[in-house]
Amino acid sequence: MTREEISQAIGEIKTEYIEEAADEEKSRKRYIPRSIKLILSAAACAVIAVALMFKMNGLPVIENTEGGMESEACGQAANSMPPETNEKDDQCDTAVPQENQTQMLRVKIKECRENEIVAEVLEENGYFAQGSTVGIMLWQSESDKTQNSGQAAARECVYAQYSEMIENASEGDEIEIRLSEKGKDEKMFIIMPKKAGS
Amino acid sequence: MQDNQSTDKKIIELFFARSEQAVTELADQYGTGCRRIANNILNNESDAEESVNDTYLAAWNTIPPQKPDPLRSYIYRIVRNIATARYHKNTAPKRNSSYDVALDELEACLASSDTPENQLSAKQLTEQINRFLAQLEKENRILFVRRYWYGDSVSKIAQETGMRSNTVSVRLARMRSELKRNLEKEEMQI
Repeated sequence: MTREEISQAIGEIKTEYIEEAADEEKSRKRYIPRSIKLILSAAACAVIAVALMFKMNGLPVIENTEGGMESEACGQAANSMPPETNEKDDQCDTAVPQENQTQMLRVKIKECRENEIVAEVLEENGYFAQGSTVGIMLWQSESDKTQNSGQAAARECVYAQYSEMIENASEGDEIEIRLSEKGKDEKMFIIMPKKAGS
Repeated sequence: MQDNQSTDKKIIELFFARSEQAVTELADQYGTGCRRIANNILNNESDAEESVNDTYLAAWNTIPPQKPDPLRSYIYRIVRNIATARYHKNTAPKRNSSYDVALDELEACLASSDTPENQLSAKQLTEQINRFLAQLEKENRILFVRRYWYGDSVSKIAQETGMRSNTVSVRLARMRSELKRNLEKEEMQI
């Protein structure tokens, strides 16, 4: 038997065997080796673990940057109360940075107004996005506090520790403010993300 | 499979409507497979390409009246026949394709008897091979068909199946021995 005849004989085998091999080859092309699958699974697990770790440690979360649900609730609650009461300050507690959140806020003074200092955030922290504009208010007396708080509560607010640097700041200065828990310092700032048009 | 069937049906309808789009669709669907088979046999890109084009022409000339089902095997058979005819006519003396090696392996296995009365016809041999393939395990049968029908090289089969080349070679050698024993058992000396 010649090579040609052998070739011809093989060429005439049943169609089902030709199809079977073609189907198998097609499915092999979609086949991912087990080693690759393991690597992909391990990578996915690592990503999930890191994400969970961040979540559990309370590391800065971007949603809070411009005042999230908590700050919004603070504003809403304050809006529904008379400005003379101090209860609205308590409502702002939720906006005080937590222990693990970035405590420092670096800003550049843009404008000094009578009751407010307008500043630009230089570095993102747990509450403020880099480049956003904030209004900084300070009070020296209880009446100041009440008056300013009423205004502040209509927007979103966090507290910061008093610093002479802020009081003496002029336009163009770059200063660092420590965000604070309420009650630690009698002279506190209220810092509000300044909304567009406000 | 469902997708293949509906695509095949659409292609055949285009052939029956004598639309040239049929050839374009056929090339999209089975062009890669056809080129692979032709190239395995001929080991020459331009010869393979010509064989594939001849295949499309043959399909155009035979559908209709033919209404092949499955279309894939029909087209693959055509391209294999055209490529092997070209191989035996032009390139056999060169013996440089993976198909050459495959044929060498089979030739050694199906060692021919000197007496013409003991020789099998190609048709009889096909029947023997079909019976042999039917009794093989699916995995081995696919190895055999890929090597001796599609003309795939041992290294390519090994790469795509995740086996070592040596394992593929050993399995094929065992299958050839088995085939030879089967033929001898039935006193069909080749």
